[in-house]
Amino acid sequence: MKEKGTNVITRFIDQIKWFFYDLRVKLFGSRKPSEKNLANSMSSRTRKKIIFLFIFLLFPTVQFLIFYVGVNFNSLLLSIQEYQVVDNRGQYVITGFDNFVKVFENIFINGELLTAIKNSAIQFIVGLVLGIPVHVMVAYVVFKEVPFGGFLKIMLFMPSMISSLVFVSTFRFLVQEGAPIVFENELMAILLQGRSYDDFWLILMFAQWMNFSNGLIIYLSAMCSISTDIIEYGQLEPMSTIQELWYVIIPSIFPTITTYLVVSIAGFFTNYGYFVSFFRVNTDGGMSLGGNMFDTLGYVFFVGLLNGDQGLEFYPYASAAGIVFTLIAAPLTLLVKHLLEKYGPSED
Amino acid sequence: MKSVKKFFEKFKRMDLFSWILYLVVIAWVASMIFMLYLAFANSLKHYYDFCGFEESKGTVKYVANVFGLPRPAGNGMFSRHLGWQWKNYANIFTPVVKDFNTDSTLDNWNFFSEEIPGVGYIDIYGYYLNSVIYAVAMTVFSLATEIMVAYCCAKYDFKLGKVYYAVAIVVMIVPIVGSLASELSFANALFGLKDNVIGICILKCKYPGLYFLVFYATFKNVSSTYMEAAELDGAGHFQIFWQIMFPLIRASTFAVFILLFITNWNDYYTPMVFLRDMPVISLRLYELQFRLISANSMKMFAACICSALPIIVLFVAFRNKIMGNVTMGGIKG
Repeated sequence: MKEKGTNVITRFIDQIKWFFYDLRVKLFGSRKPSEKNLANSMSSRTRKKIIFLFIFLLFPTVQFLIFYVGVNFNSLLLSIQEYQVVDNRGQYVITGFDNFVKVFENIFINGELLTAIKNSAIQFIVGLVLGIPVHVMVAYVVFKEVPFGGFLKIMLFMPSMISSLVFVSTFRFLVQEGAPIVFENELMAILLQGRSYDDFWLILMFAQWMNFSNGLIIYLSAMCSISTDIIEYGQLEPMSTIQELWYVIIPSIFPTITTYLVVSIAGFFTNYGYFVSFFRVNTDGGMSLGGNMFDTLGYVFFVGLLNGDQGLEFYPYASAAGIVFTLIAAPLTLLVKHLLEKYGPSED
Repeated sequence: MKSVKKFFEKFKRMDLFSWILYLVVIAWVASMIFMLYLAFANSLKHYYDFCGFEESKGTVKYVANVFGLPRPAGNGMFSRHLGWQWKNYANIFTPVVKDFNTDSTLDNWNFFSEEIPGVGYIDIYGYYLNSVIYAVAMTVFSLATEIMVAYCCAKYDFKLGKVYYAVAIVVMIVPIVGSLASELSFANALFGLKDNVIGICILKCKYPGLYFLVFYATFKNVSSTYMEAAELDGAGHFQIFWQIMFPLIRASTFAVFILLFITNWNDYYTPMVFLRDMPVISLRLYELQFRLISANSMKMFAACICSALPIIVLFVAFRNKIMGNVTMGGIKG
């Protein structure tokens, strides 16, 4: 009751205020600020805006300059240095382009990196050829509102939610303990011990299984953003599911597929897949498990850098290799982007 | 009745290709459920149950129980150890950390605890705490930098804004490979950020990334009328951001927060490289699987479930917010 009374009073006061405001505008017109006042108020507003932008962008800018630009500049410096111990004190000394020479030697002359390059290529192609079509189709299944779609969606999100270690441990257990019983073959127990090249393929297939629903959010959101008119037009035609996928969905989400593809190219050089999860990275300076039979470029450099004090000696070589790979990956990425945009299917 | 009809209509609409895709997805989901079941069922077994010693008419025979649920306990030498072993979990959660050197009774030894040189013993509570601190700090730092830059670029018309946006796109598209060595040397020597959780957050929270684009699109979708109206009412820029614009994107922020939190909770690469003195639960799991003796395999599964449980609860509780808001509010725009 009391509240109702207060509301009536407030409304009454507001009406009086508006009445006087209306009267003033009718008699004297709306108040125009003088040019000086306007200029002052503008400059004050601009100043406040600049201060706001400065404060908001200061930390991200400094962070980016130091830890992205600075880090990459430091990579350039490291690549022409060598780790030397002088008077029991380790330091980096400039030695020229020796590290680059070593990288090229390891690729073209003694072939030390050839296995890693070959494995990286296999991993990349399998991920690309098998991976992307599967990811698009999985997203399409969820998009089509199939029976139990909500439950399937939750399950498809599981690999992104639950730590991969849960699946790695279970898979290892399944292969080493379960498979020998099921197949009555004791030799299967030696799988995933890091001794045979079969392990490479086994882990690769495991990775494909784990990555089955990769990019679900991205593809699904791209499909959801397709105009309903286009989808309905396709349904009226009438089109089969495969035709709808090929002629409507894929052209409509092709920019998303292009982005996904373009971003994944660098993975050729950096992706260590699940090899780190299956084979221990030794950070104490000892040999990491796995030998070199299933090295990928990403794995070789990751393991090398974390290898205790020996890792310090590895920094310059890794930086030089990183620069060489960047010089290959960057133009390749831009070329692929250009080609996909030019020759890929269009929405029209 | 109507919903049942609708449900069957979904089946009717499916053609051969749809069925093939559907069955492939169903098969994958079944394998995923099987893996999770396997982890859970084995986390409740005794090693003797798993490796299959069983007395039968006075003789011990080998009957492996890899895929089944725990077998009931009996009176025999081995079978008395069978049954549902909830103590595998209890062992992990035992708060008293026994020093293995002074108390070598295996049953009293907390399987999950570990002595970190210079830090002391850490048990699961310590690992949980470290994981929460690490995941929250990393998430907050990343979110803050991405939201701040995205807001400025999307809502303010200034020349540098376009530069920030272009830089984000270039960084995402043009790869720079192999900067880990340099990052390590920065963290180690130049800035002393290693083994310092805030230091690692600062090192890792660069603004170019997928979620920068998500927030950029989200802010772009919010009408600028709100800002202009607030400005006319005399609100300052900080006030406009904090009281008007930020609450408008709260749903997307929350969804991205949960997604980033989950990613950071499961991340063991970054802690392995930069945070050796503050091990998180995922790193402990990673290292444990290589030091495991067979008798502790079952406890390892229990540990895996324990590490995943908070994330599963989080995901199930907020699944609609996560999937709906990021999908619709962010990338789509």
